[in-house]
Amino acid sequence: MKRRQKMVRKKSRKELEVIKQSENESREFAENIINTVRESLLALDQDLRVIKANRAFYECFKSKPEETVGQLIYELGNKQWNIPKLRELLETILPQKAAFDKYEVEHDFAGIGRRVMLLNARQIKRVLGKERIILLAIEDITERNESENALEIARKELEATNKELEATNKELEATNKELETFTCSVSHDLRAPLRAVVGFSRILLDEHAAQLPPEVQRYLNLVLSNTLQMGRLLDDLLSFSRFSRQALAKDQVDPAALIREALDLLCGEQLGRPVKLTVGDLPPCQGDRALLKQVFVNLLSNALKFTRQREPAVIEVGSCRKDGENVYFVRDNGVGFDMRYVGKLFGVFQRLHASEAYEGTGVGLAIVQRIVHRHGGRVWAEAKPDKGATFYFTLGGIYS
Amino acid sequence: MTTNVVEILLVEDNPSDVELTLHVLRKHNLANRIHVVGDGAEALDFLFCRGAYQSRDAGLAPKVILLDLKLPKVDGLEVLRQLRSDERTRFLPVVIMTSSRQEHDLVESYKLGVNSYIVKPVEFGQFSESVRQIGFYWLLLNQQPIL
Repeated sequence: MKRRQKMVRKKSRKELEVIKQSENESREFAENIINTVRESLLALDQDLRVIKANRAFYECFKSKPEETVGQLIYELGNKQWNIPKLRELLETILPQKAAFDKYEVEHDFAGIGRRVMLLNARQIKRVLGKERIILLAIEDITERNESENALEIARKELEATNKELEATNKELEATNKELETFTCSVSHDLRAPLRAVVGFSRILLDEHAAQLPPEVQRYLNLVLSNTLQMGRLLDDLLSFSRFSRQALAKDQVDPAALIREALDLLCGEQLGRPVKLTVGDLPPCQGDRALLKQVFVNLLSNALKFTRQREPAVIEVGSCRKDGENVYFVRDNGVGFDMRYVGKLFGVFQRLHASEAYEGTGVGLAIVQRIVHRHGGRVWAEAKPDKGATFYFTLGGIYS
Repeated sequence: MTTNVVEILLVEDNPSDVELTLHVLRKHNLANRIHVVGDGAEALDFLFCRGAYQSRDAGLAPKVILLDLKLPKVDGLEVLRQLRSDERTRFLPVVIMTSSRQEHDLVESYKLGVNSYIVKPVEFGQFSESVRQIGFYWLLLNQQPIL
């Protein structure tokens, strides 16, 4: 009997050890879990004293186990948890509902400043005894809120920018309309007085020359030539503005065909002098046919104009590849220009040669540049005085 | 100038343009039967025999109307629109003579059924040549139906 008792005791001791061991394992398992989660966790007893806090809690609130465990939650860290809303949650809501989720608490925490915390809580009944424990999970959502706020602010800013953009667009439309009216008035209203000046000067010279001393006739001729020059400036300004505003109708374009058409238009310039013109292989491009034709007309017309004193004039149109882009060029052996003035080359009404020697208002290259830019391309030139010039342009398309 | 047998109605508000046009027409003996009005409203009154032109004989239509586009009161395009939408005037030859090269004006004029569209040149030689040609063509060469 005694022996049997002894055996039983021995057996139950062993069982107890096993139970204890498994309890230890469970505790270790649970502790590992709560120390692994990144949210702060507090386990409180039913009097709201801290039984345990996890590593995240200590890190987040910059506190230590010795000043935490056993303390009333409201006493923690200089009573910083003594928050009316938290009291309400723990003392009123939790006893009734046994759980609450996602309670937001905004509070000035000592050491870490004003934070927004999201609280989840569970009330757990212990099997032994009637006490309860409360698990409190605390998530710091200040930064998330801040980024959400920042996002909201950015969204609002975007909205405002959009509205501003819309307003600017409307303004731009109005300005464009105004510009159109202006252009129309330039074309109509400024031309009429010019016509009168030219017309009456002409009538005086043609029909009343007998009564006019030679000096007066000379002055009248000066009036005439200046007025006609102003007419040309007006025309060129108008065409510059037209090429700038005209909508782009992009299409597959064969530059060789454009060059043939351009040369037909310029045939008068080639009459009576030797012009040696070569057109190399020109890859097709995407662009507005009429506008690109104008580019070639202007470049070729310049090439012909500035080679007038050459025998023969040598003009070469070709293309090459540079950084994956097709570069078209028009080269001539004409008078060229000094690269020091290249910056002025593409300006409106800018001229690098005296108008007595080479006529023109200086708008041709400005039009070329505007059209090329509108296609997303670049235009540039290389030249030497008396050694010819080469004009290059791209159209912005990258071809493999 | 007579309002009875008018061959050319010149609708032009710029006095210099009027004088230059008359000068050319006179030089070529084309200005005997010309009437000049300075705005679109008066042009319409003339053509529809209204207002100051009540007593004009509507049966005597001009052989050609030289019409500027930018005019006081009623502009050239509107004059053209009204002429084309009226049985009595829809076949009247109208030549727009303007400083405007605007594509929009050209297209609108042709849409409304203009007979010709001339951009007045600044250079006087070209100006007088176009006026002379217009005068000869519409007064001497062109034939129109009798309505």
